[in-house]
Amino acid sequence: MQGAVQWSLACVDAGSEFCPCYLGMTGECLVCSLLRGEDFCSCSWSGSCSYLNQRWSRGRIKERRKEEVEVEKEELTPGLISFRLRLEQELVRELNNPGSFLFLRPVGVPEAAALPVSVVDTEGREVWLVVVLAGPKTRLLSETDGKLVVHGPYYNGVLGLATLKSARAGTAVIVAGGVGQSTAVLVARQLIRGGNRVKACLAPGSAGRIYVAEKLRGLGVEVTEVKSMRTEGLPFLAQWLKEKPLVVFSGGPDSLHRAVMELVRKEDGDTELGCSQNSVICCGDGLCGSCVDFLADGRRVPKCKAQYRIAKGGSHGWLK
Amino acid sequence: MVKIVVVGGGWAGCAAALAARLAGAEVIVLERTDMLLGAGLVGGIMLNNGRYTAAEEIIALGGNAIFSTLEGTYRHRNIEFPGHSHASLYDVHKIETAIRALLERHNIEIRTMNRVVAVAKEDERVTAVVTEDGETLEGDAFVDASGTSGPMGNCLRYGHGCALCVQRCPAFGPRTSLVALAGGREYPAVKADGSYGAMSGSCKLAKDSLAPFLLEKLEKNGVVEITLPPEMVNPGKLKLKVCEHYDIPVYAERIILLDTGHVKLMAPFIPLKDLRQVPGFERARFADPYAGGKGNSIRLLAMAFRNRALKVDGLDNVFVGGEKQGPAIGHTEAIATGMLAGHNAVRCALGMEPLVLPRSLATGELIGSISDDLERGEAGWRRYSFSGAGFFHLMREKNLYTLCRTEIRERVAKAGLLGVYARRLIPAQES
Ligand SMILES: Cc1cc2nc3c(=O)[nH]c(=O)nc-3n(C[C@H](O)[C@H](O)[C@H](O)COP(=O)(O)OP(=O)(O)OC[C@H]3O[C@@H](n4cnc5c(N)ncnc54)[C@H](O)[C@@H]3O)c2cc1C
Repeated sequence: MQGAVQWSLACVDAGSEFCPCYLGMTGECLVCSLLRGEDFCSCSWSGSCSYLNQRWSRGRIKERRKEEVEVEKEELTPGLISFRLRLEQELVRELNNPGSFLFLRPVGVPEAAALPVSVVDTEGREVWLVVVLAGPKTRLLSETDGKLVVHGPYYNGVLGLATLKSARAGTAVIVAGGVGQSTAVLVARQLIRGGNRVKACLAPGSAGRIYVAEKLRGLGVEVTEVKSMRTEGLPFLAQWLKEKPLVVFSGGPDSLHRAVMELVRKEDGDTELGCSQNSVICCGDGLCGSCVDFLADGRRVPKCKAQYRIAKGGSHGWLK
Repeated sequence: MVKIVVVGGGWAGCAAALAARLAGAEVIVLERTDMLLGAGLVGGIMLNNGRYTAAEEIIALGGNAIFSTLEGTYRHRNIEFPGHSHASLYDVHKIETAIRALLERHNIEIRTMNRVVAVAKEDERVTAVVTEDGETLEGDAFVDASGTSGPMGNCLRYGHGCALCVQRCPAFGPRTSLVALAGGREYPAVKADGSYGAMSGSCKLAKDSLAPFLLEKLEKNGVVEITLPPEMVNPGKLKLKVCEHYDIPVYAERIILLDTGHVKLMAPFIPLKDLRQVPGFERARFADPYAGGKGNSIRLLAMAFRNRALKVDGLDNVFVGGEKQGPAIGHTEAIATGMLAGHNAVRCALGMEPLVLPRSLATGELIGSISDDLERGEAGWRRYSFSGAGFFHLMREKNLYTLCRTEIRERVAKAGLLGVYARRLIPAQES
């Protein structure tokens, strides 16, 4: 019998211009044991050395951009609002990856009201985002006209990024429902860049409407639309899994992730998983504590920065 | 079918793979980079001082395949340089493909660019390793021969930063230890000033960057010594070195060059602007590490606690060879300990008693001395090599050092171990 695989953490910002960060400075770097105050380097490697980055930066930490921008707002259905923003080209380029998101808030409200919103897609200098009315932050946003404060880029809206990036020349499946649809388009773009054939099953869920079907079809994704993911969508997925896709991406609530994981496990193949990040993210920089998780050894891990390695065959650490 | 997985394809990993295969197991070697031999890609000195005895002993134990392969790669034989006699230098440009071909002839599966990043464990047994691209490879027993160099964080903290050495961590990802992944304990070498690790002791120049008069002499004799102007002498540098056996003042006062295919320069690093002051070096540039004007790789930071059979403490089926098994530095040392680790991995998988080499043999004494340090609570205080400093002295004291082949064979025969590595433990039809 095979024992349990022990996986290491990666940091979504490691090697980016936002590494080092405040966690490195305060001895809580996710990837670097030396920055955590241990004696030796036991790096799990994400392509660059955080310790070196910290040394070279001489204590300077690069802040993300914060700008007031004009938005174009459209109510898709009552409770479902689409925002289109024009941003600088460099920023848009950085947002054109699976999992990227921005914080949005109306001008003049406290920073705590900033809402993390997944980038649905980018085109030229335009960024498209969708918000489902839920609580005070979304309501404040829905009531604003004109300008919003935009803060970003942030990258950890999707877990399993390494898996999505390494999937090559196979089949890939996306199941997405509710506001989880917002992660599907950039994930599909990545999978298509990898030469994969992509199938998607979409359900309206809490958003009350399917809003990415057209975009996905435009990219060449084979889209199936269903009314309910649970009763109609999952049976489709069970069928598709027989074709042994390289990767299945689940965009939706944790309950969807769990259901998808169950089905993938049953198939007993090599299919890997990716999913949307659903923790409550408030600052995005691992500082505020709202998304904190604890590892078996008691280490604190802010989920807004942590990427988990995911084993083939569906063994993973992020869903408890 | 017994399956042995070897992590790390340096000298120790290659030797372990060969021994496990000779014993009849199915063997796979996982190597992080795109070449075998690790630090062996930039070394080359063999058979100097007590290494001659150790090599003959390995041959008598049944490990002749490696040494007969080496025969075809020597550029110079029987040369002398300060403190070292009867050395042979292999060609660093020929050795990798020669050893690779040897392993392939023995049907050992070699997977390069396969870095181990996780393990699966059941109680104290490792059941599988997982590579960077997510593949799970099961085995009955494992050899950790992942070495002790780097990674970059250590080279920065304990050295002068990544010097771009042949290990190429930034390109292939850092050394990752199977023992550490499996929860085993490790210890570092401790320097005289209490700091950790050691800097690699030689750097290599590109041959064509040397003046023709020097190059000619070097290629003819295999060795060149040049006395440095007094203002360039820096004896402090010796303390940085990993190789105690070159820790003698002449190595600070003179530039000693050896012809290994590269121009091997017996100093951890030399600022290029200083080196270029020396006649013949006006156009010098480094071939390894690429930033050899600035520093060198840091090693000896992650050695495993293990017993005399080289089984790791607290893990039932993991064995260690090379620098991973303790502060024994050198290719010969890696081959000697690697062979034992590979052989014992098969014994372990078959439920047999492991082999412990007696102290009447050079390798037995080397492993035993490190065990003594561990048992005395002096882990990492001393460094060992068949060729120099304290241990060579000890070999002579104990009459272990000899150049007489017959005598060495007799010792091995007396221990009842003649050809022990070459005998199958698993009958042919089962494998
Ligand atoms: C510059 C230099 C010159 C030297 N010159 C000489 C000399 O002339 N003569 C001599 O006898 N000795 C010399 N030595 C010392 C000698 O090279 C070493 O002591 C010996 O080769 C160590 O062998 P090893 O197999 O234990 O480790 P290494 O050679 O370090 O091999 C470890 C291997 O494991 C791989 N690895 C690490 N982690 C993983 C992982 N997670 N998954 C897969 N693979 C992994 C590495 O890529 C590497 O190939 C020299 C050393 C250096 C650095």
